[in-house]
Amino acid sequence: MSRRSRTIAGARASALSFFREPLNVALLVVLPAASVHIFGVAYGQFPEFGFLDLSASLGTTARIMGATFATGTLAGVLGLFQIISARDADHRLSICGFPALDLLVSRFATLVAISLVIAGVATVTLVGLLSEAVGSPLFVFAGLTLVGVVYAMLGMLVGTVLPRPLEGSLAVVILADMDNVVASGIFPIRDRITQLSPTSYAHEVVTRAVVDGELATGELLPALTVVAVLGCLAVLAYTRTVRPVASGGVPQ
Amino acid sequence: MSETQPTTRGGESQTTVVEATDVEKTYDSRLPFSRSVDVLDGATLEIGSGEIVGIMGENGSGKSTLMQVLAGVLDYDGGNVARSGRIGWCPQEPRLYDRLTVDETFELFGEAYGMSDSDVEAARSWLLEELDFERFRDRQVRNLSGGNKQKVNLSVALMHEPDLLLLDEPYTGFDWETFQAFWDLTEDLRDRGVGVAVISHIISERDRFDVIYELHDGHLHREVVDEKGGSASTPTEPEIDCEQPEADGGQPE
Repeated sequence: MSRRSRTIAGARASALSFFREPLNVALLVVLPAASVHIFGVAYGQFPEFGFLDLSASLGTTARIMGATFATGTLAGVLGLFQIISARDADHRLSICGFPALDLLVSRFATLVAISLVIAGVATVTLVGLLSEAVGSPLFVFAGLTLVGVVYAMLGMLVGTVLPRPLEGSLAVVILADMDNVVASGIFPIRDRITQLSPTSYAHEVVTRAVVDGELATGELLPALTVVAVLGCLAVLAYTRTVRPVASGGVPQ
Repeated sequence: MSETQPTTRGGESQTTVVEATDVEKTYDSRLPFSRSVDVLDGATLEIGSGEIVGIMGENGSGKSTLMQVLAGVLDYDGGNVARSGRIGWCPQEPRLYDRLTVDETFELFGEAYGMSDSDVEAARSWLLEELDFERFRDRQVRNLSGGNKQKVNLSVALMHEPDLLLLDEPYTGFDWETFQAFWDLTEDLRDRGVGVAVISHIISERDRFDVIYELHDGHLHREVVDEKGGSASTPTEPEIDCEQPEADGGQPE
């Protein structure tokens, strides 16, 4: 059997597992719309403060935050549950001869594909709910995909080191919430800890696409670097979790 | 893992499919103020082709740990485990993908075993008929009853026709007919030369085994079962230390 054939089989199994859960599909449709709308309404209650140095209006910035939060949270929780729910089954599949690396590639492929779907839904929702015209929906989609992939990797990492649904979900959601506030630039926080925000660059890609219709090329490389670093960490953690441990020789 | 060494036992030529020698396993505690648990302490065991071996012992004695070590699922701290041929491992709890159907489960694990489509189809037809769950093949695993889920669990271990079959309480949830079908299948596999190890709690099953290993305080005690169901006992260790502190905690099972 070829690696391609195994990867397709693994990705198909992962995707079926996701789309056969009605709650996943319902969240996919409802969460981005709810999040974009609620963030817009909530921040819309504030006047435009002088200390805010935003490239877009407060309402637009808030709705962008809603889109990035929904995309990050959904993709992160999905990455988490991909690992937790299939941890034992993946281990057995690996023992049966399915190489751990091929299994990981199929998991990545599924997560990227579903991140694309989440980003697509969030983009359509954002374009629909913003009162101003969006500069470039395509680049918005690219930025949100980056946010989704970053959080899918983070979800995998959390699921590997903290394989518990409640605690893992809380960790992902709290992280996404804090990161979203810091990355949005809505509060001018000048602390080195803000440099650890995993989606600050991806968030800037989305904002520039909405406001100016440009692809923020200067932010793209750092954003992809974050994806690459998290991807490497996820590879290490995952293969360590599912690889078989068989050792020993043949009977004498 | 393809080399094998023939041995002779009872006039019949047998090949050792797995041999564990002086295996040690301790579950180390990662938390302060909690104890490590010694589970296997010099466990020695040998399973030949065409042999049905029972592994018995009280709850928490480490039977599942031993089986996972034999299957290569769990690492061990000391001793040696030598295997030959293909291994089929049926864990106590079904480790399956809940949202895949029975058919899709066969296809995915067939891919893992490197089987062709026709081999997967042949194995699926054989096992669906043998264990009588043909009518559930389109159903998702999460929607199966405990007994049917266990049939899928067992089928995954059997579908690639292993040389050594390691079954950890495989008939949990089986009805009487399926239980009988399971033993018919196991005896058929023995006749084909498959070595089978079964973890069992059922005393009345003793005469179904050729050899029984009793696990106690980390040591294995070997009993050869004769045709009348009686047994001749031989320890696998020169001295069995029964003064070990009792292990606590739930890890071994």
